[in-house]
Amino acid sequence: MDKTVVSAPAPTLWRDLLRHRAVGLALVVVALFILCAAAAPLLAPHDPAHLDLDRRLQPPAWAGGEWSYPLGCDQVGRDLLSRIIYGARTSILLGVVIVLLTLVVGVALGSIAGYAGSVVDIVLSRIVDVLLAFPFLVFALGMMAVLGPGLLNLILVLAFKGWVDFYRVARAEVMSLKAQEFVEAARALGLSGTRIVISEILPNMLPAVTVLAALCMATIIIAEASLSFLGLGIQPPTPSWGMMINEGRPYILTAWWISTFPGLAIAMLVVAINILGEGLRDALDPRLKETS
Amino acid sequence: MLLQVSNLTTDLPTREGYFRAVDGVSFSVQAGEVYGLLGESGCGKSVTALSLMRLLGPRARASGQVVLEGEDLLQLSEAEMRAARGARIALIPQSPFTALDPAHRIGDQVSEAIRVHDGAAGARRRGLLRCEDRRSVVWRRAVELLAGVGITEPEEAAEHYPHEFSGGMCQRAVIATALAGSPRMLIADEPTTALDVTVQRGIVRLLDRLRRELGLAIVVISHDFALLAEFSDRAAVLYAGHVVERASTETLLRSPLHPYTQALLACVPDLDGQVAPTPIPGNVPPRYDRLAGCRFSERCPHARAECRGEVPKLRTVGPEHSVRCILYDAVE
Repeated sequence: MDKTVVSAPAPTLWRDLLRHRAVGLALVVVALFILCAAAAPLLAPHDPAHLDLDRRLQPPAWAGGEWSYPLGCDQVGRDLLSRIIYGARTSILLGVVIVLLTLVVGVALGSIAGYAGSVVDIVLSRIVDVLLAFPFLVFALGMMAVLGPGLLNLILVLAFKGWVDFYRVARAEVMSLKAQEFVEAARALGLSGTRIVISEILPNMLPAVTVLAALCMATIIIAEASLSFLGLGIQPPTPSWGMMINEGRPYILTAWWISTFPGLAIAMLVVAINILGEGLRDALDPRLKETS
Repeated sequence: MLLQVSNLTTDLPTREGYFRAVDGVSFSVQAGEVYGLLGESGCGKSVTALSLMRLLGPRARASGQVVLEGEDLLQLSEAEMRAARGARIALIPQSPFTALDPAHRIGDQVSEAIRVHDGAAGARRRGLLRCEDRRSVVWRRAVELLAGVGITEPEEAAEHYPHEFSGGMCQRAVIATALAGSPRMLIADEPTTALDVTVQRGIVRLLDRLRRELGLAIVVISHDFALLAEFSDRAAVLYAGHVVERASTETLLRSPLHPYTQALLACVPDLDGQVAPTPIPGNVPPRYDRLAGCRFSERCPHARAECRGEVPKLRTVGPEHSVRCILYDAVE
């Protein structure tokens, strides 16, 4: 009688994820930013909108400023650290909302197109091709210019373009998965099409979709920062990293800190999310799992 | 007869029109019988199996009759057919590794197979049970099924994922899911081909035991004469979509009549080392429905000019023995 070959306990996601030090570090960075976003009023030392012209262009603490304003102040004397902490709230909230929206729409439509095939697939895929023909930022810029700046418009514009990526991945995954023998086996057991998609196909494309969600999150944070930098995204007084970089632009030679710290925040968060995304991909792929 | 297949003809869609992959196949299977479908790859065995289950997709066309327990499966609506799949006729697919979903535990996959058919009637019957109770009832049944197919420590095995299983274990789990709907009829598509020789024997014994204990009828599809010799009662030899010979397995082994059957038998290695196995020259031609006359004539050592004329008839040459070859036309 053939016996079980491997009897290792099911490895947890966390253990797989933390196998690489970089992923652990990225996780800490992302967690830190999420904490900032969630608890901004508790963590920020000052009101991010409070103007204090006496502290105009005050440098960071170690460069001649005060320790109560560790990263210095901007051109109207607002505390940079507080604004960065509140800016995390804008970036992460926007990223999460948009990713969830695009994920649901993209995966649903992609699964339908991939499973149904024929006419449904052709129609949806052509629509997607049209959307893909526009470069992301150019499209967003144009749409924002037409619709006018504002939070709701920003979400609509970024989501309108973002679901396409999820659609393509979901469609490709469904098409390759539905040709798998276990799907045929499920049909041979009498499962209906809807049930096959939900219980056989969706769980199997979860790794790909999760990784894509992380990468999309990074893209969206950058897109939001870019649009806000250009003045078409988040409107003052809501702090946004992109807007802060723009505000510091005229002073870049005399007061470098105004643009540099928000820029660093964007870079750290985006790089951390990307590393986390790759870590997730490795951890979620059952074929890459080492069973030792 | 539990299953009566008559004149089954299946056309598959291709770029250049329909391809008649199965052409007038007939055979019948009794309850508790193992029936073999024998032939090389590409000769229509698997298409026959999938036609019986109506799993070839909406664009394939099947005609003829597939009468299971007095009901023609080809006449059922899609919903009725879905209810029949798994509950009355179940399939064991070719490769045990890919037949299981990598994303779910073995126990969950067997449970799902139980729930599919238990769902409608069972939920009402067990309506009083709370949700977790029903889950554990189903889970216990899944563990029973796993134990029934010879998986050691089934409680523990149910918690595992397919990639943690060996090929033989996967195949046993696949058989457990096929049995979940308590079908009377099982179709095993090359059940041992993907497995080690040592494990093959275990699977054959298992199928044989299920046949005896549950009274299952099993259609075994194989290219391996040795496997069929071991446990099938009767068999049909398929070549290029035609049944070329049909007899009891013993007759096929002792006195094969059709040149193709003889050639297949010559491929089986002889352990005494007396006769070296002889391969059949050539391959099954790809679009065999376009050939005129006997489809084996191209590769047949006895081929004559008449062979390319008309398709030979399937003639009865003995009790339960028919053959499709002009060599035996004179026997009448």
